Amino acid sequence: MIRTLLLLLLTISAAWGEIVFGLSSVAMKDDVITIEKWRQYLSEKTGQKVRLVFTKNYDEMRALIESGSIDVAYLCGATYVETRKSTDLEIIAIPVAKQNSNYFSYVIARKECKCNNFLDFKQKIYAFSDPKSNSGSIVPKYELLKRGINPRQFFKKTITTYDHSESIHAVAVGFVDGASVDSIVYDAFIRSYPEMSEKIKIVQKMGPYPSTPIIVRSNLATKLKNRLRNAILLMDREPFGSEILFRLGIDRFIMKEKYDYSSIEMMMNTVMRGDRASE
Amino acid sequence: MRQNNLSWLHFPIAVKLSLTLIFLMLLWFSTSTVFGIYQLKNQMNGTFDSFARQHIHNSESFLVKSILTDDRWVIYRFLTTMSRNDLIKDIGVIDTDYHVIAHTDPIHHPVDSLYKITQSNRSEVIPLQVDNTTIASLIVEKNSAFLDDRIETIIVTNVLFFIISAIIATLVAMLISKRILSRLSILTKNSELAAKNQWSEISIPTFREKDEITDALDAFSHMGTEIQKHLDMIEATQRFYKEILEAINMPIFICDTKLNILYHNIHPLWEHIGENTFSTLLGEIAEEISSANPITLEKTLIFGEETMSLLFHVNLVEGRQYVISVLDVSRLKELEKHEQMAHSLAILGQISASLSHELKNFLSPLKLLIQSQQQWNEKDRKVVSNVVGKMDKLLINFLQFAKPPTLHDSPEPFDLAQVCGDIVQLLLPQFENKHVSLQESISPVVITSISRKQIEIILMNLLLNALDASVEGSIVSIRIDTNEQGVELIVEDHGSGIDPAIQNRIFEPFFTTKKGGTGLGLATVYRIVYDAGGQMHLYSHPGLTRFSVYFPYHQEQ
Repeated sequence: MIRTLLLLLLTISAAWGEIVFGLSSVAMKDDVITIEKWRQYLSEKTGQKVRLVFTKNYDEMRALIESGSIDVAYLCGATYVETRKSTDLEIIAIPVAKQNSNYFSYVIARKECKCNNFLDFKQKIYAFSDPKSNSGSIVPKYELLKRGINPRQFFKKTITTYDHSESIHAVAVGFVDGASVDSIVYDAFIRSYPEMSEKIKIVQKMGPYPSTPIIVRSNLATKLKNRLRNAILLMDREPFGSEILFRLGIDRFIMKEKYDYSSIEMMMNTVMRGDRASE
Repeated sequence: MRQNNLSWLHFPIAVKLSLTLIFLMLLWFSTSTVFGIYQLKNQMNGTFDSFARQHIHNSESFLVKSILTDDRWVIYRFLTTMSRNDLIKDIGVIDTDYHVIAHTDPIHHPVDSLYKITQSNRSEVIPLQVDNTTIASLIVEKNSAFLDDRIETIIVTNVLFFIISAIIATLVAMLISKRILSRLSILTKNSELAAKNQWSEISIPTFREKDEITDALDAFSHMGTEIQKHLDMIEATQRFYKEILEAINMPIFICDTKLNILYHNIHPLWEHIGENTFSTLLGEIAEEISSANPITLEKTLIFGEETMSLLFHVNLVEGRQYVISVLDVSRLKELEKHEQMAHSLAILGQISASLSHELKNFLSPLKLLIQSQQQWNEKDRKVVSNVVGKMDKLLINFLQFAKPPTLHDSPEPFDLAQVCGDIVQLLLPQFENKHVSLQESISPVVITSISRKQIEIILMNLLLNALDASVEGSIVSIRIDTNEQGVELIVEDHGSGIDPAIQNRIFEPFFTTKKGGTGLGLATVYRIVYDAGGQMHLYSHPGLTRFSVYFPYHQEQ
């Protein structure tokens, strides 16, 4: 009862107060200018103040969504899959990058690395972004598990960066030998830091996988949801929005009738079983 | 022009001043550079220490948590932030087994590699502790390149400042020395003008500065004024004494020590004889001039048909210049010659008269005997023999007086004491007969200015006169004294003395107080002494009569 009232209050406040926009590592947190512009854009388009919330990891994002602290969020696919189990979520848009509504998990390394595929990183130091990240963690672990390889024993050392951009940094400075990162984030990173293309390379592309969605809580006011949806879907229709999309590495946001994240769910389950087996 | 010399003492003032200032600045800058570097190192070490420890202290809990949760990338990001300090080159975290947890240089210190800690001033190890238990260590490598850059900056800055300061110092030194030297050059120039006696050209400009150099210039100006006054006074004095010299009615000239004539007054004699003749005369008497000071010399000059007697009085003043006055004594000499001639003729006349008178007296009894026409008896023959004997004696004495023996008769040197002894021995019986003592005080002395014969005549006459004047029991003494120039022979008796009224006449020929005396003895002695270049003196009073005869050792040519 109390929980319902709280939700109602939040909904009402959301309808009339600020909108809390949660961002995880699917967006480049160090591109604060672009993120701020996106906030301004959404505020303008929705007519409401938008407040950004960055979470350290996907677990935190899920917790905030579950608690209703976040109204709209740009999630990793795996986080969406996990969160929708406990919370009613609605996908209002998915990104299209390089004319593809799916995305990939890149295995990246320094240019001088003598590695041609993911398996060349045996006994190397490898970086995962968030443990719950699809492209940053689940995909590479799945690839190993399906080959009967224990991810905990394959690498010499794994580092968790909790951020795709940080993983890319870690590879660039040589802190790790390789990393798995979100392809959209990687492309946006290279666009922002073109000099990095001299230092790092894509060793292997894994995927495609369903893109990272923008979700809202289902219990958010319909008008608000619509305003948010329209604002996001129409970003490519105007200069300000286009500029933001360009910086984000996204062509545009689209809506589909149906979203299939079963592949991600399957990999998540496999990895979970693998984790339990190796404990 | 100053000689080229590499000694620093000979450097111009501007160079000395510049070098001094540059040296001082070099000393200052080098000292400040060394001190600055030392201070910088200490400061950087201190800053490093305080930064590292403070940063670590402030973030220790965060670091510990990250280490415990193995959040390596977070640790790396933290270390990266810390290493942005210029003092720090790299930072790493190692576990208790010295394996790298995270390091800002992952290429050389990858995760889980073994970190080798070396003893170096560039690395500092800071333990991270939980409840006094070290769980990891922070390895902080100092950025020596930063320190070197700062040191290099300090050195370069100081060198640049030194160069600029040296240039400024050189310019300042040149300016100051130029200002000083321009005033000193005036002093130098004025000194040179003073040395050339160009007093009217000396200038004393006024300067804005009022320092020691201005004081020196003022002192010089004052000195110059005083010197000029003294020079004017000297000039006036010179003119005055020159006029005095010109007014003196005798030639006076001044010569240097080489008898070069420096000055002569105007005198008819000078113009009559001429400078060359005077210079020749000076050359002739140069040796005599140098032998004594002052000295008076007589010089005879045959000038054409004229014979001149000149008396040169030479006085060496302050050892630098001879003052010579010349007196023409030609007229005086002539008068002297006439006077001598007249006196000689008078003496001759007197001697002739005396001799004639004596001979006339002796011839009177002979004349009577001859005129009596009687046969001479024994008595008459005795009278004639007696008269002839006296006449003979008179003539002998006269001849001895008229032509006494000379030095040339017996020129060989002899011992005066020996001759005196011989004469004393010869006359001793006569002295003993009269009971008169004869005392001798004679010592050997050789003379060549007088002959033996001459001394014998002198001694014989003086001793016989002394014996005649002495009474029984008295003493007659004969003494010989010597000095540097000559010998003095002294004969004394203690008789009644010689009447002062006749003392001036006793050396005259034919003057005698003795009955039967010829009056030629002392005259002969006097002449002999005079011819030998000696002197004779008489001192007499009742009870003592002393005859002193002086001879030089050698007769002058």
